[in-house]
Amino acid sequence: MVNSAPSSQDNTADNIAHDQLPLAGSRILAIARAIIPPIFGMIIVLFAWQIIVWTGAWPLYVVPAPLDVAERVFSDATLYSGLRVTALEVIIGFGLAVCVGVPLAILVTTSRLLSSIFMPLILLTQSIPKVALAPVLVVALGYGLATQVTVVFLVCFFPLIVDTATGLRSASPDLLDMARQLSATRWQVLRKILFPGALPYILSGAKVAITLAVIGAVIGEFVGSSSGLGFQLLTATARFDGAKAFAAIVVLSAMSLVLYGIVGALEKILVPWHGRA
Amino acid sequence: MRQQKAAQVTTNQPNRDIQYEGAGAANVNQNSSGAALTFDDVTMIFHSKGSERLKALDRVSFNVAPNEFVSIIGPSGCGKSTLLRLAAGLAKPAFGMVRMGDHAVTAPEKSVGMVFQQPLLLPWRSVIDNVLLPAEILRLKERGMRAEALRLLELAGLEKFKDGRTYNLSGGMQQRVAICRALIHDPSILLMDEPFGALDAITREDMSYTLLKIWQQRRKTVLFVTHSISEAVMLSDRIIILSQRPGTVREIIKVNLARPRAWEMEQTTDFQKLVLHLKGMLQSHGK
Repeated sequence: MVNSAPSSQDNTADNIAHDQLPLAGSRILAIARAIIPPIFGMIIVLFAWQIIVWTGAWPLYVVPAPLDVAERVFSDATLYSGLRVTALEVIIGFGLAVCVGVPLAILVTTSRLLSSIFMPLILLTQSIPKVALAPVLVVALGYGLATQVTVVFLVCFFPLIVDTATGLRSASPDLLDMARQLSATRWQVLRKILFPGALPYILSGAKVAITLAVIGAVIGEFVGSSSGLGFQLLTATARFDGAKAFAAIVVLSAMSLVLYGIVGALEKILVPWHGRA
Repeated sequence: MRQQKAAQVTTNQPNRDIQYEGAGAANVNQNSSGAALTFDDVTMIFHSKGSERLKALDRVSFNVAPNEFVSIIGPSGCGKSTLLRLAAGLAKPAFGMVRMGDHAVTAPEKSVGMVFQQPLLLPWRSVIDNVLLPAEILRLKERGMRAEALRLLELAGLEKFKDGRTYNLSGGMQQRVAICRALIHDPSILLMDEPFGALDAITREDMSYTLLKIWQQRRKTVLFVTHSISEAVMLSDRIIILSQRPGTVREIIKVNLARPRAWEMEQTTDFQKLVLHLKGMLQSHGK
């Protein structure tokens, strides 16, 4: 009876192995089927865009040619010094939000008193539109890194603290009863049950936060900065340099995608059980 | 010929029962002073929002002898789970007293192992590390505990999967890990709250025998909440039937089937009589 379970497991392993043999070839086909159509669609759009530019329907400073934009992306060095500044703002602001948001979420979920002290403040900061806050921050913190980092921190902080708190509250009451019945300390419960259980939530909060972080950095640069991709974008449009403005947008998007990909990879490493347990 | 043989087997069965009955009765000490767990006139009242009061248990009294396997069966919402929480010291009765051995249960009780309807394993831990969780919380010596965890997993037929991930196991296997986890700190009482309720019928039956096998090796006092009549009869020394809310003890039935139990016993008249009796009790109550 007991032995039947392992052997049935072996059978399923066999089945998987057998199924995968003929799959090896068709898997490449499946990947091709998934990748080729969207690339094809994108090429059509870019081609149509290039044609419209050639017809001269719009002036080049409004709609630059995709080929010009591509050329700028690969050749304009100022974009990459801008990228370095913006990436730094995003990483510092996001990192601070993780370092402050996660511990604060732990405090808020473990104590009702701390929750009633901090939660209204947290909600209040969230109800303020960050775009409106940015010019005020410039007055307080001046032109430079501090303003941008603060805006990034403020936009990242809320999804992180909310998702972390949700994750910490998601533990099964039965499991917590079991820990209580074994007289587990608060620290043991947090370290062994609550925190690892909240990790999937923390990481999905981080995924939202990292995309917001790029937006926050650009807003911060719009209102008070003399460097970064947002600043480059602003000056390029002021000089009617459409190709550079679009190139800055392309680089910003690429950065956003890469950062999101890094958080996503981190999720796969730290939470391999996500969606399966 | 074959039919005759079968008839012989079934007529032999009750004789074996009688042989073992004496030993079973001696094992089951009804004297409350020697009991492993005693419920003495326990009444449980929940205060819900406003002034509404909900009586969950009403003057429940019974005792469980050391190493006895007792099932609790009754309609939904009759306070079966509350009863287990009281035994674990996770809740306090409004009136009456719960005793474990000779001391009153007033605080969470460490020498209790708990199994729930869901396995509630931690997916970030390997199978064996899940089993070791209570030992870690209780700060028991790691080396000895790891060996004990391995022995328990072996008993549950899971030694091959000790370093595996829990989410790769089937539901029944996960629940077996949960049983090992409940036993790792050598508790004096095992509290099981419908542990097989979420499993399919075939796995469920298989689990009953696995549990019996483990119990045969690691004799423990067991309080087992279930909805399944045949499961209760197959596993238990005694069955406590609770009434609808507020839960009261309607009847305590002794199961005089030989141990170790085997699935063939389901065919014996004794088994079927008990099942029918329990069915009658639970149905007549529903009306």
